[in-house]
Amino acid sequence: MTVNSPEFFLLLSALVFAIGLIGLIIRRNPLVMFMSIELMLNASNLAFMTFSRFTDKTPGLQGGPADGPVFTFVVMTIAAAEAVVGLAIIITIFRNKRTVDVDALAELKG
Amino acid sequence: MQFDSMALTLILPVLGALVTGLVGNRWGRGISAVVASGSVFLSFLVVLSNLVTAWPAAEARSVDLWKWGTLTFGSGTTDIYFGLYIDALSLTLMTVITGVGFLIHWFSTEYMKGDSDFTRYFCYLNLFIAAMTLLVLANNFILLIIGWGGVGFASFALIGFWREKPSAAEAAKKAFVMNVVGDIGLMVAVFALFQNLHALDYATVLNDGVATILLDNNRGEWLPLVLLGLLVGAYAKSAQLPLHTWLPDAMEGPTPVSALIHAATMVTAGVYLLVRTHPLLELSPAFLQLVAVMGAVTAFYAACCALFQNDLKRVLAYSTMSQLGYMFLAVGLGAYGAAVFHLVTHAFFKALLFLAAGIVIHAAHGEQDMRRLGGLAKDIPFTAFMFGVGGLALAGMFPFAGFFSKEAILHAAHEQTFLFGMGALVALMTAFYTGRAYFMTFSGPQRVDSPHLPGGPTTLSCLILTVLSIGAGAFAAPLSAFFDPSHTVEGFQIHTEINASGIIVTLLVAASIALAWVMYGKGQQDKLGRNVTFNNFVRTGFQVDAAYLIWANGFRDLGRLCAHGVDRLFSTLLPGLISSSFWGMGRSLTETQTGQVRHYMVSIMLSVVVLLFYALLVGGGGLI
Repeated sequence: MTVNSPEFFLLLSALVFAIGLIGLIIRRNPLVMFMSIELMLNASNLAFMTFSRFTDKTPGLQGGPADGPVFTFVVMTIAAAEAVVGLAIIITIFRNKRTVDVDALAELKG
Repeated sequence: MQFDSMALTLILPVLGALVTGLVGNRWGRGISAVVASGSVFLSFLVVLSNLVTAWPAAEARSVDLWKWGTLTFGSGTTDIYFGLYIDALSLTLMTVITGVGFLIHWFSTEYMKGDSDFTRYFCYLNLFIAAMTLLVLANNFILLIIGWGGVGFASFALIGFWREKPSAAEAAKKAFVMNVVGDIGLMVAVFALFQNLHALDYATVLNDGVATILLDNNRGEWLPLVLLGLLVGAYAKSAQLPLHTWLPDAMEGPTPVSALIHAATMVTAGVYLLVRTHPLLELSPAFLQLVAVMGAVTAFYAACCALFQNDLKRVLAYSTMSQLGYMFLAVGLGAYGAAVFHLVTHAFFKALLFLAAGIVIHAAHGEQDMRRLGGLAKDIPFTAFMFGVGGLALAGMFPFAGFFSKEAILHAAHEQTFLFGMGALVALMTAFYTGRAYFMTFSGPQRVDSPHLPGGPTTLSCLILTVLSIGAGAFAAPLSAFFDPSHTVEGFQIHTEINASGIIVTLLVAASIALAWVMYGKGQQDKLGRNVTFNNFVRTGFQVDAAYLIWANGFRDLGRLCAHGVDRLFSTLLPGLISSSFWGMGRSLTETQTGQVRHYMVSIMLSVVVLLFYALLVGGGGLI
């Protein structure tokens, strides 16, 4: 498996995704959980770009199909928006509860 | 579309009931009494004028007033008219109904004076006369059923007239239920008739030729159905064994009501029905024999019960049953004339006895127990005389009315030793219990303080009935001619000669009365009541009520089982099970909602893994 092959990038993407997922599950600080989510999003971006880069070239066009980069930009935009809204919520919760421990924020249940 | 003056006899009491019922309270008691009695008196005059016109022989005529509708049932269809059937039978009965009915209305104007519900009473009474008129004058079976139900309702309303009394309300309910049994019998008979004959008017159905369709071999099961249906109807209405239990309890009603409905008119409707439908009955000689035997048995049974009663009105109630048994005996023997004749004389003397009993009850301030009455002959001698006349007529003493009618029935039975013997035996028992009732009430030591004395209307109306009770025996020959001028139909001839058996029976009746005098004349203790158990057993009518209660309680328990068991299963338990199962499912599912983000995260992750494996393994990688 060479460095410049789709398998390498896809495995890397899966590894980063797994790290993000595990971080999301085991951490209790919402800020760190946000970072984990960013990791997962970027892992998926990496996968998009990999598929885009290593797909056969379309005749008459330079480079791979544009779908991958387009999706990547959309994901990055959503990640930015999500971070803004999420941080605002976290700050509001902290103002009300004086804590941001997610285990303590378990009131919404059946 | 015709009009007949007899229609007035139906319209007048209906108007009377409407006026007394709707505006009676506003117009006052006096006017209500005049309207109620006057309407019956006017219809009596109408009947009388028709009777005089028809005399000496009535031509049967069927008048269709208007077309009511078309009846379709099964394969048959027929037009139903609101029509009247006027012949000797209906004219005779109408004379009794309106005549005795008027006298009892008149009597009631004084008797019910103290009652707070005076106008309601007269409204019901007029309603009863209207329903009875419809019953007797109907020219088809549908109208007959309406009249039949109408008198049942009026009887129910009047038995329960004093509705604040629980016993009266119970008695009214009982009478209604027993009468509905009869109504259903009658309806079954009428449906069966229609199914076979495709017609319901008397003129067609009772035509000899038409009714014989029922004798067809193919229709073998219909004739018994028709006859038994008619019999159940007649037995329930006329309080015959085994549907009689309501009549003794019906004495809870006001006494004039007992006189009118439960002695003179309504209870004779069963006899009327069987006489009216006699062409059908004659299709089955075995059935007629059954009617005769049951009549004799009822007469004997009721006479036994009457011997042991302590309540004055209940003595009269059981004696009514017994006399109705005589009438059914006569019908069963084919002596329809004798049955109708006894019906007429019985209406006179039994109404007289009840009205006189009403005067006695008023005189004794509501006391009906004969053991606490006594010596009233000194307080109200004229009433005692009138009661005595009624009693002698009931006992069948020569020359009072009852002698002739009972003699006619016994004559009809003389060929069948058993029936004749029963009839004669019941005649002796009748004489004895009538004498017992008379002597317990009117002779011996005086037991009533400052008795209430009867006024004008009560005495006068009783007096007219007294005259009729003495003289109605003379009606035999004219009535016989009225029914059957050419003496061609044997059944309607009334036997009028007095023969040896009549003289013997009269002598025995006199002996029975003398025996009653010896036993009760001086206010002695009741010797019949020595054995308390036996006495109670007979006085309560051989515990037929208890037997019915076993039956009725069975149904009640079944109903309870349905209400508390089956109904609860379907209305509470099963829906409860369904709701609690959903409730429990929801409860257990809420356990998964911990509120912990990491739990949700893990479940999402696992779900994705499971879905991926599913897609890869089962879906054959098609998803990817």
